[in-house]
Amino acid sequence: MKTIFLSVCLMLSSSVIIAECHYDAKEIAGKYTIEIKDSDSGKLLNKEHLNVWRMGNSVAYENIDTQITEIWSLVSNGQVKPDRYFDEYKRGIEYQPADINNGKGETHWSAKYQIISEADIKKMQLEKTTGNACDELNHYVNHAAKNKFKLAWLTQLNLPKEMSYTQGKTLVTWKLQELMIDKEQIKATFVKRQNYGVTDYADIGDNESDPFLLKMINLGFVGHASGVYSANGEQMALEGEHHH
Amino acid sequence: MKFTRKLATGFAAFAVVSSAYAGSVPDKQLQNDWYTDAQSILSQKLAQKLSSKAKNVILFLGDGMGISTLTASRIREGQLAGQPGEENYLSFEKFPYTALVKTYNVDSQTPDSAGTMTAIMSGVKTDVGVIGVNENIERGKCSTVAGNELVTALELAEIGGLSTGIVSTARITHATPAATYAKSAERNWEDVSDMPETELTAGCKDIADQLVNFETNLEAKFSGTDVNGIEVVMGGGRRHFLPKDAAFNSADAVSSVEGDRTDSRDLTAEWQVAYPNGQYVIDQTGFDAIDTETTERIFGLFNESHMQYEANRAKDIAGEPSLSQMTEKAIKVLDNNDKGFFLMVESGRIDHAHHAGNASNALSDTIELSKAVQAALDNTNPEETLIIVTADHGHVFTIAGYPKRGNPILGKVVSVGETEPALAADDLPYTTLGYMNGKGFRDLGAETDADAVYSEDSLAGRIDLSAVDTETVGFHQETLVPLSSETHAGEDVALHATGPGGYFAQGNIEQSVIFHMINQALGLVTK
Repeated sequence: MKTIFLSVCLMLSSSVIIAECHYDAKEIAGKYTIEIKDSDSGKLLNKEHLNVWRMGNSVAYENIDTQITEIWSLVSNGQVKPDRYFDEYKRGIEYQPADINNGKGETHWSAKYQIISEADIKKMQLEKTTGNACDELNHYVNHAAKNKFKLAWLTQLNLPKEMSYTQGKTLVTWKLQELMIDKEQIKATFVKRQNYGVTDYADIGDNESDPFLLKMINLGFVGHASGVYSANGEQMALEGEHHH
Repeated sequence: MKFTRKLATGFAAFAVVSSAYAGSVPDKQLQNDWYTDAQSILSQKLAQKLSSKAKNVILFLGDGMGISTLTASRIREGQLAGQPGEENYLSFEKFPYTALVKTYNVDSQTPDSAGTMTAIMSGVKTDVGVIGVNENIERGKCSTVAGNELVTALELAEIGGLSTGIVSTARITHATPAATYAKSAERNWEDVSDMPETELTAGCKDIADQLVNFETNLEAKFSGTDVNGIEVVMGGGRRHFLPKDAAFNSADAVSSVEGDRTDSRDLTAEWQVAYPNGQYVIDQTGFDAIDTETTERIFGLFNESHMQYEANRAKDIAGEPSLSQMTEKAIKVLDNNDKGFFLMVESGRIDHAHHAGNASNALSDTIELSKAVQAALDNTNPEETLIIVTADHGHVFTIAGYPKRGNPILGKVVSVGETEPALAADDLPYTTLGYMNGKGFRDLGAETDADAVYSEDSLAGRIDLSAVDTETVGFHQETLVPLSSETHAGEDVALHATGPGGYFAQGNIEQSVIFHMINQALGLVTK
């Protein structure tokens, strides 16, 4: 596996030093850990491992612990098509493109594509900028949110390097452990799921005798497993604001 | 409260009364609208001419359209027209002949679409999950197909020289349409990638392959027969006809790779080679451009999977025709054959909306089916066309409580004489419509895609609906038993018929009798 840690690329031009990032932000992946700790005691309650793969107009959330991968694709009419793959069973459920906010608002494609939507980043306050090129980080906080949201944002890659927020009596922290830029590896991640046996969401009712589909009801969905989104598709990170 | 009676049949009241009763029935009763309207219906029946031979047969099938769905849909349609609703009739509910139909499969108390449609099309009830084969089959075993294949009404119509057509809002390889043309040990073998290697090696063909090669296969089965193939095929399911290669994606593909076929075959291209005069269309624009008087045949695949719910149709990328538009177009192509035609039209997504626990979409798709039946009535001669409207099975969908007359059918129960919702023993309001099992309550507001609910877990049990608008398209009714999907029901369904041979729709019948009604009308077996 070709693994590349954050680095700075330098380019000289007309005697001015300009730092550029040569990574392709449209084909990139990040390995994240998500730690959930007790806010008071700091005790680690749960730790998940989530890989976020981005390729063109698709993004995959691969939950290593649950072995469930959710792939979101932006389609030509602006809607978002979600598919869920159960890696242990090599099976998937395909869905029709839909407004992922269940008809209640904008589709928040950017929230799927880069974990935090552009609209939500704009609500935050920029405290400082550090680093440059691929390492350039914008450090944000959201004082308006009840959940003490903090974000270290990789500006050239449109991915969080680290973010944390409170959720009930817990503190949730996402940390980027590793970046992956090997395009063949990224492509293979998507192709592998395309070769699974898939069932159209609408056909679940006609296949109740299918052992996999019978079991699936107890498996839950990646949207929940990843901890990124609440059940109604809203971002957990800004939960406090939505309840104002 | 007195409600105006409106008899939807539109016939004038017929006030002839037998003299033996004239003196004993008071004038107030004789002049009552309910009395005279009902009497006119009987008079119409007395005036009916019975004929048994038809030139054309159109079979409409509402997938999952149980009797409670009919009742709720007719009320909904009436209420959308500003009426109380209960007095309304769906177009086909005005048909003169009706029967109740037993739906069970040979091995299943509650049936599925594969077994039921096989019975309807062949006259032989069979097992759940299998297409066009009898009960001696072992589901999923290709080797058990040989010798157990059944001949369908569509195949017999082809052999008889009639034009034939299949229209569905589901994938055209889905169980109901497939049972008109395919033989398969497994309903899910829609394309080659769905089949285990062992079954492929055993020689079975996927359902999409059987559709495109229908003519060749039928001629091979009946030596010396020369048929010309299915003239009209319209529905969804493009993925099963295209190779698993992004290079073959249609212009409105929603998947990164639209096709599912792993044998590299493009069946749409193969169809075009076989029928160079045929028109392959994928969207509303292509559909609208079809000249029905000059077009020999149509292959319309308007979605990579199922077509949209009628309420969601406007959101389709490239645009899809409605069921009523497809019905009219199909008839206008098929009736170019002087010998007549057989057409099967399925409203396939009533079933899916119910599976998702979303009554609103189930009702709106049923109303669209009613419009499609009206389109058939408007474009055929009633003296030569038998029209049958039925369902393959029902759903666990109920109309409950004691709502007052005209209460919104999608609303909460408001009792007679009251203006506020009635409260149950748990002090919470409740809706008139509900499901026995399934995914349960969701308030998805303006979401017109019933299947959006599948991204969420089941939520059975009571919910406080006090602040919820239950009449929105995205409202999903409460349920008792949590399941990943709401289920079919085992109760009987209705059959409505009009035209030559329609009067054979009587009593309580097995689903296999429907084949014989079609056969009787068209004289298929003797042709």
